[in-house]
Amino acid sequence: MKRFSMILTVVAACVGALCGCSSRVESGREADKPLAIFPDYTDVTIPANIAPLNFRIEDSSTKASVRFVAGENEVVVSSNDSRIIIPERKWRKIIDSAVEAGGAISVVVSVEDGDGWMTYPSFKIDVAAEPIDSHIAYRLIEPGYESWCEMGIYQRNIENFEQKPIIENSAADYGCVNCHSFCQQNPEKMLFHMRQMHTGTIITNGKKIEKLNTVTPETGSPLVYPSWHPSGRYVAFTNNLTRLINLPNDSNRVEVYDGASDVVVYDVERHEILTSRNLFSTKYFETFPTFSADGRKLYFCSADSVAMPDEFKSAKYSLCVIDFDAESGRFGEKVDTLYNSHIGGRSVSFPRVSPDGRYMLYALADYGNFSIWHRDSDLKMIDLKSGEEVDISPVNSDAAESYHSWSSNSRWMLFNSRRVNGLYTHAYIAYVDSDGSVRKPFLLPQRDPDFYDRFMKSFNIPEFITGEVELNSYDIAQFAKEDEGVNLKFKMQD
Amino acid sequence: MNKRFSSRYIVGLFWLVVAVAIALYMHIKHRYHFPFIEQSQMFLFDKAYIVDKLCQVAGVATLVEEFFTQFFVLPFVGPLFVAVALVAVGLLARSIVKRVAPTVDAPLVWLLPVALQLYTMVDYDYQYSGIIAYIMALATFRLYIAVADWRYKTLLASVLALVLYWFAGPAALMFVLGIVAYELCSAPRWGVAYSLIPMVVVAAAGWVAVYYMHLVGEVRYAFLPDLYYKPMLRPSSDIYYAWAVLPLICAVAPLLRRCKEPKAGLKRVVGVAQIVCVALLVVLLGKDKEYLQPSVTKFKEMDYHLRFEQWDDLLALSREQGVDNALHIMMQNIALIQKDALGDEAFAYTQAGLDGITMDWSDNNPFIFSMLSDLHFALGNTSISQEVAFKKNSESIAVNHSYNPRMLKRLIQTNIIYGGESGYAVAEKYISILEKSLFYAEWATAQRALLGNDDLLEPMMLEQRVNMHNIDLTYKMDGNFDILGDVAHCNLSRRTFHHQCAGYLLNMDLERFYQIVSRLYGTESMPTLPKSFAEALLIYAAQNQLDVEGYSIDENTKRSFMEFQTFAAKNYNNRNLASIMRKSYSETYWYYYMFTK
Repeated sequence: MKRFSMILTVVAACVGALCGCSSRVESGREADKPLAIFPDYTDVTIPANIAPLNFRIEDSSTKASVRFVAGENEVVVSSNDSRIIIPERKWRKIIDSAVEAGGAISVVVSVEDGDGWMTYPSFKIDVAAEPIDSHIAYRLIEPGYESWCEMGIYQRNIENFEQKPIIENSAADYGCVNCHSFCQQNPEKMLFHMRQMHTGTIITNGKKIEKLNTVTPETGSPLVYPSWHPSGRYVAFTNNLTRLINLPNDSNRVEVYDGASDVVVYDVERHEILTSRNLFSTKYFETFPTFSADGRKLYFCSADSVAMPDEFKSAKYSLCVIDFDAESGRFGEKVDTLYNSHIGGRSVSFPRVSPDGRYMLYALADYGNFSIWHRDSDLKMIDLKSGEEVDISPVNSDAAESYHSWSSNSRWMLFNSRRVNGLYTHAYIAYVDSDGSVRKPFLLPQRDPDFYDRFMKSFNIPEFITGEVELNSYDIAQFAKEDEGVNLKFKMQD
Repeated sequence: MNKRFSSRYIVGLFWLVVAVAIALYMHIKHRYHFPFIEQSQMFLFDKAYIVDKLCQVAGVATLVEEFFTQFFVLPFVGPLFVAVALVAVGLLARSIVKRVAPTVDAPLVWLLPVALQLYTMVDYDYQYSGIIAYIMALATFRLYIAVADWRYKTLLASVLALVLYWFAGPAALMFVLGIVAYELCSAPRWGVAYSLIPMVVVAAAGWVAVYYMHLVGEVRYAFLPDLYYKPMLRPSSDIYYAWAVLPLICAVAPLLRRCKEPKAGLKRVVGVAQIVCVALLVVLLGKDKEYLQPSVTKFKEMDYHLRFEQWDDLLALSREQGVDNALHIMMQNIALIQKDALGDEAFAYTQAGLDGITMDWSDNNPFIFSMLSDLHFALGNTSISQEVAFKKNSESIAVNHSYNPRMLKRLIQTNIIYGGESGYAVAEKYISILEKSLFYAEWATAQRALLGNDDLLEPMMLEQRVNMHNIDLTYKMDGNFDILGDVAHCNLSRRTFHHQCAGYLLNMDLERFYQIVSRLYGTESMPTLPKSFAEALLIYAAQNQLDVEGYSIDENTKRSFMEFQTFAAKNYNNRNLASIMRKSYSETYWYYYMFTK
């Protein structure tokens, strides 16, 4: 026994010594090639409360050592296989130092090749003063086509790597779950749709869950794309007939289009669908409604009603706005146009107003409204105060950028991009300065830098939430399966 | 040779015979089932993959299943695996009975779980993690009964139940039910009270898995063998019978202990009688018919030939054994397309209209997706080939939590064909996954060399790129045949338009057939008229007083057509005309056109 203890002690001492040895590289020759890391976290701006930015050094499979320096402090992370996994404690230490020292971390990467250690020029990670909402919600689904098998809506604590389901279709007979939306990033006020199985719209308020049957004789089909009124009293929806076609010889291989679409507003208290002739016409395709920050305007996209699918490339959506009175639930008579597709020649989708009311983000593509399948789709931003477009080119790439949302403090934007490989959508976060300048975005960090290589789903509809959705996903699924749902009334404004 | 050794020798021989019998049965009757299963699962030699599996309920059982399943692509391995697994079940069940009631031989009891699971082994929807979990549950129970002291037993059972739940899933419930049944039938009976503790452990583990960790979606997956069945489906009752036997053995074993030992002669007779009973049960269950439907068996065999590009074997099977349905015909026609023989030989084989040559690819039936991907790949329709391959792989991920290597290969091929930054990046993603497998790594690494290197692409891959333009034309055609002037001619365009024409012929739409032939004849897409096209053109020409001099139709064909017409006209009122003419004309389009309804 004594002998066994001795062996253990010697082994432990050796392991300790080895760990100690591998933690520091004093110097190395300068690298003769540029540093490539995945995800690309070079020169990005991050919030102080983000999870460690673990990354992989590309074109290297040997030992690596990374030095993070901020102010007087530094931490060193070593690796034997080029994957840099930053321990939580070290990450917090260096972030705190960066915040104290004015906000920047210098990162020095060294790798060992056949000739010893080689050090790359350092890169910088800026730490912004403003924090980010602690959670995001997204749907995970295969990127494409009209079928699915397994999917779910999940919440991720972005201060660490914990992901929990809000609803998984495996708990509800494998129907479709989609279009999750939160009122003012509030995890307690949420909705999402269930299709094919246990059909309806699930809407929560604290611990209360309600199921809505949103098909009425007037709408004919269920309500689709949602956007909450800031008061939580209303939700704007679309009412569309969505279809998909394959384009075998087109760079956008799939086109999702609306054969018809209208905009309505749902009154949460009265279980009533409200709309007006300006939003519910056969002459135009109206879609993607979103309320202004003060709730007095309703923005939406509108295109001339063209023959679908033959003329799908002619469907170009303008950005429009109409007044809305939350007290009476009445719409204004006049529709204004912020972006006119007849003049601009391109098509707007997914307008989203920052919670402080200053900016509006939207996607702009060559045609149509399903921008996530359009390689030409880029994000654009308007300063609603000046009416001027703000340059946000740092967030765009050659691949599709599309669905986007704002953090509750309006300083962070979360958006989808296919830039990694053109097929799988991933969630990116970018800092928006108070003057509207946007910094280089960073990919949602994962515990394992190789995660995105093997992950076979897309991050769909990423939304910020200020905390965790506390309702248990099993309870939500059981409710959806058992509840008959509330039928809605329809009211067209005179 | 002493008596004990002799007895062991006989037992060993018995199980060897059982194993060989099972393996032979599986190989003779179900040999193509195993590679069919293999294509929906993939074991990866990857730490992240293994850790991910181990974090799931029944993760160990799944890992073991996937490890063995990867070898099913080799001949004999599947049947051997099933034989060994079932014999392990039998041996463990016998060991339990022998431990509890050493003097009684009860083959009926320990052969029953083997017999009841024989057919479930070829149930496409039942996963082999089920039999692995079953073995683990039996082994755990065997461990439990080895301990005598009730305190240690209870502690051991509780720990084992928890570990078993993690490793094997709902099998743990069968294990604790077995304990309860065993204690209930054993003396003293108060032991049953303690046996409830592991029951509570499993119930708690299941609830945590469903409600707090969300590892399984529904309660039935947490506690019933449903977890080992394809999600979205309800298991067949056979699965439940097999699982119900497990606690039954545990209950019967202590009862057998009370039986008086019969005389040696009688014992042997009773033992043999029981074995005969089980054998009869296997036969009388009649499940062979259920799990051995000829059309499904043939589908799997044809699918095997299709997957490994054994076109001649596939066509020989079709010719010699006939075809049962449109799916078989579709596979036969894919082989003809791949041999560039559709236009010449289509009517030498059974045809059944459009269903045998085209199918709604948006139909969400994953069973046929691999075949559809092969069809469209053969036709040079990279877009749909990729789409259905993607859907099939997604189905494998959802159902088996595993990739589909066959479809991953297709996704790599099609993405390389599309090329460009995105195509190569997506192909690279799939290559890096396949490179972690045992049997596909070499192929995947070879594809890596093609990434971003168009010069290394095979001519056929480059033609696939070009042919997307032609596919687009076929989509847009819709009666406007003049757009065929824009065809980008190549070898693949020949396949695309031969297939289009064959479709019209099968649909007896000679007008559209002629519109294509008249525009493409003489081009690289249709340099000559294949046999059936020439035959069809003669019918069209006769119907429309058209001169076919411009087409290379040989005199024999023309003469034969004249004879066909003359004979048919002369015997028009003969009710047996079809069967009379079959002998001479069954392989002609004329026969199909005249006699197929």
